Amino acid sequence: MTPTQKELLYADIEFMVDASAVALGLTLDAGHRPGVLLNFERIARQAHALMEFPLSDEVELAPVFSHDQC
Amino acid sequence: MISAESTAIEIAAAVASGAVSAREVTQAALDRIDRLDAKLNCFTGVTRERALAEAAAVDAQRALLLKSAAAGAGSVALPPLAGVPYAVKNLFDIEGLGTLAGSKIHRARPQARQDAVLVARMRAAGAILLGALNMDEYAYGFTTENTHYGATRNPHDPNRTAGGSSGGSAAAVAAGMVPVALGSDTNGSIRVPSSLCGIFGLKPTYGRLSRRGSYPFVGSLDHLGPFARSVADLALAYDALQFADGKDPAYSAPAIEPALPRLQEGIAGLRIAVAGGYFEENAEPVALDAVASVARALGASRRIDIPETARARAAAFVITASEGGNLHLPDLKQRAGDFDPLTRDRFLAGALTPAAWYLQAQRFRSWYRAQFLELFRDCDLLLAAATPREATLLGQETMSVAGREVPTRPSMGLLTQPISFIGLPVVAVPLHRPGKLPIGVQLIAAPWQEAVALRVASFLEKEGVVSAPVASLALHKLGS
Repeated sequence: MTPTQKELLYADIEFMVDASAVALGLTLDAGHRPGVLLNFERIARQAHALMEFPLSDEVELAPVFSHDQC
Repeated sequence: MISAESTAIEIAAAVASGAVSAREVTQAALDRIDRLDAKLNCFTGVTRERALAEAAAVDAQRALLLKSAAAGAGSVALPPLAGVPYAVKNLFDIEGLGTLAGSKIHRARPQARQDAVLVARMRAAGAILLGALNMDEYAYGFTTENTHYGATRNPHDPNRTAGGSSGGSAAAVAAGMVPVALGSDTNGSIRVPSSLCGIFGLKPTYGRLSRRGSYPFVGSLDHLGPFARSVADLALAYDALQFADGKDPAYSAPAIEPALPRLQEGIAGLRIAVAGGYFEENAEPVALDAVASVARALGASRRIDIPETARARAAAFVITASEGGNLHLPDLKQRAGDFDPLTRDRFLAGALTPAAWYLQAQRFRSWYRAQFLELFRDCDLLLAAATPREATLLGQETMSVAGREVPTRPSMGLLTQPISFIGLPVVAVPLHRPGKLPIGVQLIAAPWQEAVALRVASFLEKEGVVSAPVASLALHKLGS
């Protein structure tokens, strides 16, 4: 089993937000940044619960129901 | 004869019989909107001219049919929703109007050149469009507290939210302004306002109804559907909306499957269970009592725990943030300050989500759906509360759920989010208790089995367990 994603520290959140913003060409307004960090932290918390869940290699994206699924 | 309480079926019958004209019905509905909407703020635009023109067309059609019929006066075969007023969440394209999707940014976009598919379907069925309805900006919220267009108020208590994001749709129906409305549901945006406003709502199977011509939020999770004050009206509207549309990439319905003809089939033979575990751990006693009432009426004593549902909600949260943020990235780069402060930082954060988190959430979705579908091998319908509790006060930042204080806006969807995550069809049914706020229960069926959920809803309505009376507060305190 692969190591699980660690719980992110606030400094990690800041680093990820700022680096991703640079990568996307997004300039964060100073007034918006605290709210963005708060919301990114919420997403990270949810993602942490997902990343620690083992999925087999065969599980792939499949967003639409096939017709025999009823 | 025709009043705020009239159902769509009663209105269509009265128009077909000549007891009332479509114009009279439309004018009365416009008058109700004029009286009530200043207090409730459901509409962001009233399509008065279009409504009167559509009503005139229905009346002319009837006159023509009468003239050509040898039998003379009497009922004529008009389309099923002829003369029935309705309105749509303002993310549906309406020809000649801007599609706001609750935003300020979209005011600058060109007007829609044609109606959304579902608006065109309603028009073809003879329904009369009265206008566009308020919503959370870009559908990102569960309270319809919109900074640009104001909050929509709950007709049962104007100090409380109508739920969201299709809050304008639900409140307009609950207040008796229209008998039917259309909305969208990505994480609960039909079922949450249905619950808090005490009306019926249908979120069909993912891929059942065409979304073409509606402004998206999260393509992987977006559904459209109707609201009504009776189950038959809900089924009537749903049947009118079904249309094989190869141009919506998610459209995948196996067939057009009318639900209205099957509404009276009853519940004999249906295997019904209560969703336990997560669904009971994230609800207040009032919500659990509502589920228990419905379960009792249906004779459902079995309880099924659906494992990993908290993670399903987490995955829906991540997918929503990521796809929503990505959709709005160009505007977030250029004019983030023009977003509603209630959604802006959520969209910005979502746009920055790493691909690994998003992809894991989408793969988990496949896994969870496979587990859930197994349950339907020996179960036809699951029951769960639609919201953790009744409507909260406008501006209320946190609420109590099962002993925990949680943020109101995202948490109203705790019980709907895991279900839309895997696209299952749900009818939200309302329970009204004297002197108390309404609350809804989800009737969750297997993929493509909307008709089963509607049959059960119809049974509960006949038994008097669920109902959707016009909000008396709107009538008495705000003037009908």
